[in-house]
Amino acid sequence: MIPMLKMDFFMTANYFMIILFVVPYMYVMNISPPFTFVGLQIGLLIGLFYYDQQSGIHKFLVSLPVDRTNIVRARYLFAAIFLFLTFVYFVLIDRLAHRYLHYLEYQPISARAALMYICVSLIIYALSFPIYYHFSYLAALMVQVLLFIVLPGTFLLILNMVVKFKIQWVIDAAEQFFSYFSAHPFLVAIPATLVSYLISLFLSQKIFMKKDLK
Amino acid sequence: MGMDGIKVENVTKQWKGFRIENLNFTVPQGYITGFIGPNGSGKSTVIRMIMGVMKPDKGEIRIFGRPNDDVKLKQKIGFVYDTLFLYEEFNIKKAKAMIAPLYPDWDEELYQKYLHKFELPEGKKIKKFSQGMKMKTSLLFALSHRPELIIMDEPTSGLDPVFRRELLEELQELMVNERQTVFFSTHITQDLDQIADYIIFMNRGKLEFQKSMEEIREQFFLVKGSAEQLDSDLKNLFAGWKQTSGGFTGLYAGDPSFLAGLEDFLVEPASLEDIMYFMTRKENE
Repeated sequence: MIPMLKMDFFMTANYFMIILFVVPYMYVMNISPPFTFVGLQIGLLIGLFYYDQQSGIHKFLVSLPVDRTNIVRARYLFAAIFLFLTFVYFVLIDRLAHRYLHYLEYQPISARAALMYICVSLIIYALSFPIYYHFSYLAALMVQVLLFIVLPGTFLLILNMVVKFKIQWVIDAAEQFFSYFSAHPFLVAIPATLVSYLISLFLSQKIFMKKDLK
Repeated sequence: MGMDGIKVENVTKQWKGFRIENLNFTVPQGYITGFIGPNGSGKSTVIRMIMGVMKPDKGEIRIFGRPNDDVKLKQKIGFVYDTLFLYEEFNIKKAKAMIAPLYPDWDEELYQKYLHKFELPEGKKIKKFSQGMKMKTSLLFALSHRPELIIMDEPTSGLDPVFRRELLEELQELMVNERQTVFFSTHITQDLDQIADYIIFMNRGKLEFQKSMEEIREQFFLVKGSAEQLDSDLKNLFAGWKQTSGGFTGLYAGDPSFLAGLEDFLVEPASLEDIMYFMTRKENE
């Protein structure tokens, strides 16, 4: 798995360099940190699979003495490492920015905010990876965009209907969930995110094992 | 024929409106086997199935007696595709850092030898390589771990004639010195006339034949004569034929003693190109 990780690091070396400059720049420009952070993760995702598709690298990789499942696992592991490294850098810049830039409108990253950054990014990965393993790049990109429009849209629609028709049991359950979540955010978010990531990994492995590589 | 290097058994694959049906052949170990057929005959699909890039709908592929999806088996295989499927942003150094650790038998000395021989720049990005350089890069990685089996899909396409000749000599040398098994597809049949021991001929997803070069030389002949001599009996005798105002040429496949009676015709040995040409002509149908 290490050679696969090495490969992804080589491929994203330039992206890491861009991040080194983009993050401070976004702070200087007073742009929403969560937006920047999640945007960087989506950028990685789209970039990696774009280069995979452009080069046909999967045909090369499966011809090497590497198990298909390890190719997928390495990608998931790399995404998690990337997330961790960008997060550490982000927190560092956040601390420096709040010390020296007094016009910032955003609060420093708290533990809760950090949890949200990481969980939202991992869930985006978890939702997106199987799509990219299943579809060709362009189709996957379209499905992903649709998904990210349709999912929040559907959620808002359901929320609207629940409030409009006063479906009490749903309102009660939601209130209970949110009160529990705000009391114990780590207990809810961490296991839920990890389970989603693992289910996604399992699904991607299944897809990639059976896939004919064009 | 010796032990089987590759055994393709009852393989069927439906792919983009194209069908490979019940394909059976063996690649003998320790020899060079050429895989020929016109464009679109299914050669690349078969090679990709052998390498596990694509999966057969039915049937089985074994390499050295083991299922082809055995990961450890891949350590014994060197592969070259018609395109170099590597990130264009990579250079050879980065690609090697990824590839070499996967092969316990990686021979750094041999790698350096080929790097020097192929005159490849280690630090230059692959996107700046010519088609020939990309093919040489594929070969560099395919040969540097001393594979027992080398599988190549159109390795000579995009190469200049000088390097093409050198590559063929290199393959022959590998086969003679190290008894490596070589299986390669090409539509440049002259490459095989020089070095192949066996030929597998595929057309429209089906196997036309598998023969040794010796058998091919003994069994395939071109018969030439005037247009008036070409009657329906004679046409039935040929695997394929072509008629022009100047006369006809037919491909005869079978017992050469039969041709002894054809005194009014010109009979000469058929090359692989002749065989492929006549056996795939639409007029034959």
